[in-house]
Amino acid sequence: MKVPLKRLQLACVVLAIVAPLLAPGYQTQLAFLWVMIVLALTWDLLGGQMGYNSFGNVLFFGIGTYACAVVQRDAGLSYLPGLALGMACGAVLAVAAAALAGYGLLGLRGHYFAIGTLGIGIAAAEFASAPIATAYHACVRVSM
Amino acid sequence: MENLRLLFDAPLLSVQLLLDGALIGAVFALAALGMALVWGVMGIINVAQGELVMLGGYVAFLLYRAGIHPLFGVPLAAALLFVLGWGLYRSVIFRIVDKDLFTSILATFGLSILLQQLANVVFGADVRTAESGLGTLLLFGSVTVYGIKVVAFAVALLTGAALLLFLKKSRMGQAIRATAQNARAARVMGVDTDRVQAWTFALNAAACGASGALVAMTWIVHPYLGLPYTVRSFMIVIIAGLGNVPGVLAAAMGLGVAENFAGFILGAEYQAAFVFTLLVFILVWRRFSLARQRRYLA
Repeated sequence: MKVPLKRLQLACVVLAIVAPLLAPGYQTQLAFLWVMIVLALTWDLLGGQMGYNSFGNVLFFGIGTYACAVVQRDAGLSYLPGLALGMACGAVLAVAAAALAGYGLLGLRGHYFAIGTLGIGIAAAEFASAPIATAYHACVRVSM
Repeated sequence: MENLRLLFDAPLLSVQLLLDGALIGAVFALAALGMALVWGVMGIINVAQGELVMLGGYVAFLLYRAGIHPLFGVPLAAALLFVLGWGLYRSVIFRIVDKDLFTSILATFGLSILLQQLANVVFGADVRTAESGLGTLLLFGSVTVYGIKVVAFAVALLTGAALLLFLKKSRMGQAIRATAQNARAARVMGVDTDRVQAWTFALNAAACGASGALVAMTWIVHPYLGLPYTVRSFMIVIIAGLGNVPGVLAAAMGLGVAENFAGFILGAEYQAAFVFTLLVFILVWRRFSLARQRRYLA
């Protein structure tokens, strides 16, 4: 029973790797699938193995996406070196943010940790989107 | 930052912000009271709290659109949300009462996304408001007080007082308090704790509905309104401590004032960001002060 399961897993991984080549129409979705797999693995590390019910992993995800986008836009490199440098910068920044946030947040327990991480993730999202939301909130201000 | 200078130049502006914040705080307190109730009785943090507020807001808005004064939306929203809360307990919440923390938070988080998306489909993503038609008062020459804010403040206080009276006097209220003290002992003494918990969740939903109807009248309502209200309720409850009713009101008014000042100084688009950041700071501050106390004890 052990061996067929291993083979099945291997087949799944191989299929998932070649799938973007086999179905070019779904390349974006399949690439996104892989990104989500990595994100899920990080959650397994924190929530599954360590028992920290984090809702704020998306903070580090967002730091990575913004860092990479900014580096690729402004560093003046071609696509692949820009991507590599952007990913490295994103990782470093995310680690720095995690060290800073973890100092305060990892001491929280239970409900408090869950809601605290939820808060930090959404606070970051609000700060990132505030310039975009200016126009939208202008109408909120009027109705206040 | 030039807004900050404006505050010093025109002190009456501070009075305005203070008053607005304190008035809206009572509405926050109502939702926070519901959250404290559910937390105390069932040990569940209801992440869908804000979505119940949002649904209450839509009840007031629909009444307003039907040509009826939205103030009637307060009792109607409370009644409808009571039924919804009962239904949610019977379908979802009772399954997660004794489960571990992660299950309960994830389940109510899922519930909040479900309600939010349903509202988006049914009511559309537009920002709505239920015009109350109440005028404004002018104090000290330049401080405007919207009539609806005063009414909302009074209605929120009355609703909260009614809820507390129910908990204090009625048979079911006593059963709810007994279950909050010790669920097992209550069950041994013949309290039907399942029914008590259904009542608790339904009462919480009703309080949220009433608060949401007031929010729609004083402010706005849209499908993605929920999460800030959940976070506000949570923050108010942890500052006040479970079961501290005057503390809830004080914390809620303080939060309303802080938020109004932050929204004025930083700009309204940062107001929600301020709420979430404040939550993180309060939690971290609380953790360090608790750690210090623990060191004294050791």
